[in-house]
Amino acid sequence: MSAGGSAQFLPPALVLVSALAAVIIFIAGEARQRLRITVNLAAALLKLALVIWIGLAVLAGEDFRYSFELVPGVELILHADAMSILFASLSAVLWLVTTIYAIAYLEHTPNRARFFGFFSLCVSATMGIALAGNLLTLFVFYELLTLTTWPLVVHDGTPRALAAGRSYLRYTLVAGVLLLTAMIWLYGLTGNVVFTPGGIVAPLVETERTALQVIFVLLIAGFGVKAALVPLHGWLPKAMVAPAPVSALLHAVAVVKAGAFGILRVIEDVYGHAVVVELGLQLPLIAVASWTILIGSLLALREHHLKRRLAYSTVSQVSYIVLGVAVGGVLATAGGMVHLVHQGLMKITLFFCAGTLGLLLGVHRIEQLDGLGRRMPWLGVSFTVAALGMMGMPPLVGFVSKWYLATGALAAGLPWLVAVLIGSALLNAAYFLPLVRRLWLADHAPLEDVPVAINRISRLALVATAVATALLSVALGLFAAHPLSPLNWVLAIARSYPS
Amino acid sequence: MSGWLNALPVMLPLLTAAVFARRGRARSLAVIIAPWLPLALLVPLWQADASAAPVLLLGLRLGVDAFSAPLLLLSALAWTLAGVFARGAIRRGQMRFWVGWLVSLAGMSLVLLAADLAGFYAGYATLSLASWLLVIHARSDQAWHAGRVYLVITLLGEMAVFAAVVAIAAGHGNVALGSIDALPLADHWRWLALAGFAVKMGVFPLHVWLPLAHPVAPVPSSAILSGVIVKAGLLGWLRLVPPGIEHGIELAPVLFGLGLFTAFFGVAVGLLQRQLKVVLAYSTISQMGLVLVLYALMLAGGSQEMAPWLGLLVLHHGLNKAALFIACGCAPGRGWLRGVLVALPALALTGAPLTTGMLAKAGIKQALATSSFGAGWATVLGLSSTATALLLWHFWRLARADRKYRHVRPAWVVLVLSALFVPWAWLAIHDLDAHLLGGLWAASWPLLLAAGLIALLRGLPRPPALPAGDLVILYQSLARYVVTVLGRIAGLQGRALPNLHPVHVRLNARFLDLEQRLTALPVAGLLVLGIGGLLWLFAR
Repeated sequence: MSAGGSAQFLPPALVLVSALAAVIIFIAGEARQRLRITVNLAAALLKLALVIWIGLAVLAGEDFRYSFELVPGVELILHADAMSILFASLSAVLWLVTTIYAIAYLEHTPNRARFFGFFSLCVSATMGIALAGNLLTLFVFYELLTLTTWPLVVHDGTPRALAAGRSYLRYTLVAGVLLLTAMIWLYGLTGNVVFTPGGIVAPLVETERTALQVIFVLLIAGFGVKAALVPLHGWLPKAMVAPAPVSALLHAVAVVKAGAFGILRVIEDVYGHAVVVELGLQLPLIAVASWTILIGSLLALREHHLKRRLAYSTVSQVSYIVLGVAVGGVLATAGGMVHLVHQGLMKITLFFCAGTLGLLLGVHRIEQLDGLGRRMPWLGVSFTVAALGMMGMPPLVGFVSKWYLATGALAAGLPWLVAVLIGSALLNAAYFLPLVRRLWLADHAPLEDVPVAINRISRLALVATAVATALLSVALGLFAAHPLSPLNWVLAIARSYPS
Repeated sequence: MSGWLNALPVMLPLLTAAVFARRGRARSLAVIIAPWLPLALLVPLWQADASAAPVLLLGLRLGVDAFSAPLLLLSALAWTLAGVFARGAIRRGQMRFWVGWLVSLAGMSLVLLAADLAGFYAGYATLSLASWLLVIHARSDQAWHAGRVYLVITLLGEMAVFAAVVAIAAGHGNVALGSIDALPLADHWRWLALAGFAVKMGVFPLHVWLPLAHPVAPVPSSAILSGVIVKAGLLGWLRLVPPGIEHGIELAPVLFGLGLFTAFFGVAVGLLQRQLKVVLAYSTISQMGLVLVLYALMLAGGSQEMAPWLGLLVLHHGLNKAALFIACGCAPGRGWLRGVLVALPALALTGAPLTTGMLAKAGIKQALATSSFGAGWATVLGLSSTATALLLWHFWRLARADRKYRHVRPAWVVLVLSALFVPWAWLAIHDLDAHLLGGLWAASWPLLLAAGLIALLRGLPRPPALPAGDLVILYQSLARYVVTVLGRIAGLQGRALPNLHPVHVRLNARFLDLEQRLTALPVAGLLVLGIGGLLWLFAR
């Protein structure tokens, strides 16, 4: 079912589009604002178009594979399957929105060329992760993502930002070493780790049981750092000192998602869910995910800094993905995978709102939210929608994820997980509802506008992007049963795995 | 007729609520049409076609059946009239009032019309959260407290419902509500559903939010909370644990007992209250006990034939209770006309001869007669009427003392009249036999007994007042105790941080330490190695 040669350029093109944009932005330099904005937007739109093209082709049953031999026997593979499209389309859509937001947010500040250059490189790396066809390719792009994100985290250059950047590098580079070890070991055992639904290590379970277990733990720990599994999450709340578009990138578009996506690939396409169960690794992984879900929420509860609270909420929510995939079965797997998209939409909305409030009104703490809903109603509504979605309120996207995770847990014979999900929903209510209450029901505290040189169009863009993602998180929940919804996309993926 | 009309009662309130975001003329127009929107509920009742929107939610289906029909009628009437009253009565905080009002209405409509599991849950969750806005409307300290109690207990109840809902969906997908009676389901999930919806109904010991919420909510909000919204809990029972399920006969005795206990408990605590709306709240709790009794009898009987009688009971209570709550906003103590307008629904609730209450009681007695519970319980039911009469006498005396001048609103009069006649019309339409003449004595003796008791006890000193919400104090101190003990066990002093709720202080101290330890990189590394080692041991 291979496509004709003409379309085989698509996977590398997807990766190269933003890399090329980055090169142009770097060369153009700081002063040429118009060119930079044009290139940014054009690249984002082009990428979205390419993702849609490739997605429709994959839907029609075409197969894209592009391989490139580094040295004999070691090859990089870019391969578009349904799961690649899931992650790639999420990133492409959210990257477009984030680019618009970032232009509005940052175009009055220094060092924009550096910022947008690395920003594009990040997304390029993310596309590589989405399209990686074997473990080596995934690893290469994963590390590339680490390196290209660092300049964004420390963008402000303040001591706090630098400290956050150091912490980020320590965590992720150690993780990289773990990954590298695991990968070399696994290549030694199997020869080549090409992603295959159902996994490739099943023949080794008898002979190399212990090795496979250790490798699995190393892989999960390596990807778990970016996915912010507790206790590997320490870098994420610190990194919130970065500008809001970076937070969006970290929490929704690329970084955290890359970790979760890596875990997804390891469980489904390297080991295979059945082998994970066979090796006795399923329950420990479920336990880690559940623990992360609850602890993340409890930690969020005690934060009174808006963006830090949101960061801990990410810690908790991203583990829904890990939980669903670890539980296995069609329902839970779909619930976990679809949360990749759903969490991204809701969290990016929340960070957009938090960022805009911080930029325009100097709001950073929860107490400062009082009465702002009336002052900025569109922003308030977007924030409210996303917060309610996080709680799992129907008909928003969070509800759809929760529904599939809970039914999946029950179908897999793990009813206590419903208690975990319910506990998490209640904790989400405990730390999001007070914010909503402050926005709309508290009396307005007089706040001065922060004097920033932002024109009207930029102000509009800051709000419009949040409204757009909020609308998407309503629409994808309301139309969850639509044949082209992410839910049905992941259901098809989940059904394709050998049960 | 086309099926999309079924969606009108859900869509129209939401669209109107959106209009409230704009100030000026759009908003004043919205205030004019908002009260009339519940009438859209009559459309699906009229056309009675099922409709499906397979791309919405998880495959949304809408329809009307024997359980939802009386509730549709009740909601259309009571919600509209309360809304008309509200338009004149709500002067401050219009936006939060009407947004809460309309979103609650949309949620209720979805609860009533949904024919699939996910749609029903979606409506229920929306209704529960939006009603909170009705409770906290005044934004006084009392209102915030009532709102917090409401929210905590409601979210807990909703989560219990969610667990039961996904338990059904795990095996069978997003099933049609009508088919749940035939599905196998473990009893503990059923109990979760029953407990979750019991929160909304105000069944003992989950009733604590009602007496706190009613006195602080605006009059029209109390009217629909008590008259209509509590019945969403009943519909929840009927949907998720419908009569006809396998183990119905085993669940029934506990529910029957709990219902009777709630009926008397509500009266006993209500008699010790001094506030008009609190007394009515306890009366609602007591009456919901009777609804639970009839539901338990239907479960035991295992058939849905009694549905029209249940509908009658619901219509009777909803309309009369809404009328009494509206009365609280109309100076019920002034003049004979207002006296009559208070007395009519009050008498009906006591089940006096030839009132709609007598019809409702007749329904319960018929169900009892055909059940395995024994006819002796009929006397206990009669005694519950005596109890209700005592409580409403207490209400009457408080009401007649309230003479602050306000207009008699037409909505009140219409509500009293519809409470007087609509249940009779329901009886006629469904061709129910109430054994009117034979039941006269059964309806009379409890009231005579009550009159005797009132005459006898007249000279006694006033009993001490009990705080509204009774058990809530117990729950709160229990929660505080648990948190404190946990803090002690963990050996942590409550490091006081500013602006924190006492509960948070403990949590804070606990997790501040934990988090600081966890995020130190070496510790994280060691933990990973440790967990890895453990996994290795575990897997061997």
